[in-house]
Amino acid sequence: MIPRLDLLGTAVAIQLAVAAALLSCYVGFAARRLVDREPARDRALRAVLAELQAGTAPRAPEELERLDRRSRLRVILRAAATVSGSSKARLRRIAAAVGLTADAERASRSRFWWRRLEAAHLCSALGLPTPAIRMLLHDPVTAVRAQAVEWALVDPEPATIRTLLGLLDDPEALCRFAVLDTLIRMGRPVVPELARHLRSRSGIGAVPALTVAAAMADAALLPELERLSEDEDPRCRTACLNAFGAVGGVGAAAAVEHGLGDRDGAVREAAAQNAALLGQWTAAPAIARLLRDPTWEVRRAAGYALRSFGAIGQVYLRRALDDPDHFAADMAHQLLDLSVTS
Amino acid sequence: MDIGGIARVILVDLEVAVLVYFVAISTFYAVLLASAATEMRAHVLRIRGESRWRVLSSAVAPSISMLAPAFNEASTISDSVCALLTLSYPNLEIVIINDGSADGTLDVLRRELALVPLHPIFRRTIDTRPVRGLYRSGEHPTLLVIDKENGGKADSLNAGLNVASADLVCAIDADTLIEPDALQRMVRPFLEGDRVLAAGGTIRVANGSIVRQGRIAQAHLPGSPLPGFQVVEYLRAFLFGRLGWNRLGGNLIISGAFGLFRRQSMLAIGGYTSDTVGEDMEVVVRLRRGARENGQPDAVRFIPDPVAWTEVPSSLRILGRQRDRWHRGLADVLWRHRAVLFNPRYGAFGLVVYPYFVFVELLAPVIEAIGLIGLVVGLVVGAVDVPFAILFFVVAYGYGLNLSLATLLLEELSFRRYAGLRDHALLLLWAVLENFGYRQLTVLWRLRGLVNYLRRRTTWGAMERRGFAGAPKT
Repeated sequence: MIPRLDLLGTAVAIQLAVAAALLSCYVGFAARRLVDREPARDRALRAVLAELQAGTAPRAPEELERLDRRSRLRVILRAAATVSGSSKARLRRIAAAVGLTADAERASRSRFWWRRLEAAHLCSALGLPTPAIRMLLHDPVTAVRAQAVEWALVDPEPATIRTLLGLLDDPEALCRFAVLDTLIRMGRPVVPELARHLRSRSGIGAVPALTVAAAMADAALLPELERLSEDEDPRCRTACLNAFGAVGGVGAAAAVEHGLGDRDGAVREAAAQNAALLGQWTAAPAIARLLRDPTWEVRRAAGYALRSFGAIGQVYLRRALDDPDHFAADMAHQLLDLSVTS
Repeated sequence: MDIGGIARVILVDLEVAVLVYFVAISTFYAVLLASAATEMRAHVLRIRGESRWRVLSSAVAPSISMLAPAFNEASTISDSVCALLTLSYPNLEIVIINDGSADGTLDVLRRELALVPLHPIFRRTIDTRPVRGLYRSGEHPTLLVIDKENGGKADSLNAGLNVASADLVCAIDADTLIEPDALQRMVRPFLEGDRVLAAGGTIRVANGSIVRQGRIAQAHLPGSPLPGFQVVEYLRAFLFGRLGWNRLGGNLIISGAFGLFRRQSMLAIGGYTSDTVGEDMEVVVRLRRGARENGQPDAVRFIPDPVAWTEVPSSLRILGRQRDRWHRGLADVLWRHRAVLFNPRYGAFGLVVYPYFVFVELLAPVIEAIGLIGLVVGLVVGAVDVPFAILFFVVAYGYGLNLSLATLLLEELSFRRYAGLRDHALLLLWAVLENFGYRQLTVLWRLRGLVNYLRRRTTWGAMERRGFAGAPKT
């Protein structure tokens, strides 16, 4: 059973060989970084930024041209993060001069997902209206699709917006997040397409679009919001109330007041919150009744809403101190900053 | 065969069994390393060139509450709060929980943050020690301070969970220095999937680095061996261990110093358990177990690029206490949830992850100690010959060294936090030297932890901190 010396020798040799290989790799990579690449990239970045500030027509600095493709890409991406407006336009010309724009066009059709991702990164960072990136909105890789969605900000055309709205149902959370974020950043150009999109939606499927609607806060969406506020799904009704709260106006106020009597607790809570947001003090009596709600979150939202109404709300809260419902009295005590009843 | 002969056979067989155990776990380590390398490559490709402004300025990014319990942290709390306030995240609430400190931590907070008492309405979903007061900073409106009676770290985190209002909660130690963009990176798994319950980031050793205004201005290796060995240990644990588990059944540990959780999931399981010293591991096991039992997804991800820096013990006494406590915690958690072991109901969690923690993380020091003692006895009585002893050492420690070197290579190929020649040289030096003495000491401390667990000791032991500002070099 006792191992022989030749086995010992083999084990030692293998361990030493592996250690030597790992050590050599480590030292090699560290040395390369220390003496070469990082400083060269930093020099190139400084040269690019100096070029962006120069008054003359932009040209690719030599320091950038000396780098390999990946390093050039990194430098341009780092520069892009710090500039906007005319400087970004100059940076686009520098990127084109060193062949990165043409490379991005090619990379967007690459069979390697990380190359397609690089292309989408560059086009998003520089705001390049590269048509090939639009194809990536349907890429099978989530990260690429999400990055292409970010790129879509530079192309707020109805066709792109329609594609983005379609992607609100994407199975991947990252993509849905990117779509929501991009649509919200696009702002008003989204509204007509969003209204059309909402027309064909109901239930949980309408919730992401309603989140965008709340961020748009556009009265043109009210008819669709009113229809969806009667939806069967409480999550849809809640999202509608949030959108009403953002849009405001008489119609929205009526819908919010109607929501105070909803059969679902989350909807009543949202109604109370949005009544506070709208400063809808005329709903104070209905909100005061919610202090007796069986759901704690609803009672809290109602209490906060009353407190936000100022003197009128204070009257209702003081009345609630003597409420036979001890939950209502307790919430009023807390909101009025009094000692809590036992 | 006489008694001496039988003893010799037993000793030799024991040594061979220990060697086989080492080879088996080393093989598993190799699988873990391959998994970590694959995961790291995919991760680096995904984040390379990524602009995080989308998250940073997003109206729909999930909100985060940072929960920072502080107990007698008067010397470091200013730097820690300063670091928390530099965090770049769009929808962030910072909750400092003063756990009945007796050293004036609350006074420091009051003085530096212009605290104003307030009365928010929160639900005591989780039972905690009484809250004495709640304050909001007059200078930083997103900063809340909870002053409560002493109840331990778990109790403080539970108080924070009750008061916090965000979608996600990030549990940290008050003395942890979190890099400003760490949350933007840490939130990624929650954006990527609805299946993720929790995520953890990398903890790095701050000793030796230069700290300014609660931030690591320059990362350096510590010049003294003890913190230096811990740098290598931490890199190995995070970049190779935890990253590797992402593809092999998910993580079981999210460091208590830096972890992000869904708040509703935490409230649903009743928060942290107060009667264990391994509350950070226990909560992850309970989260995963509960999710599995309810047919819910139980993903717990480790993300290598969000970094938090922590001061590690620089004395043997304190380090020994810490490792003792960690091992007691591990033993306690694994015993509490023993029903998971080899239970197919829990999938890879019960069949791969849990057994690994029992047979490798928990029992490795026992096996290692048996091997070492058996080897010495075997050599003395002549049952084991010298070549075998050398073979034993080469396999056990040479393999460990190679894993450390592979981890350093992984670090160099990905995040490259250490830049100078001195740092690289020190990193290699500590990676080699930790095998001679330090590793054996950790075996002793962990064994002591196991014995103390069996004797039902539940103390934390004091952790002496020097504070970052006064100790740029350790």
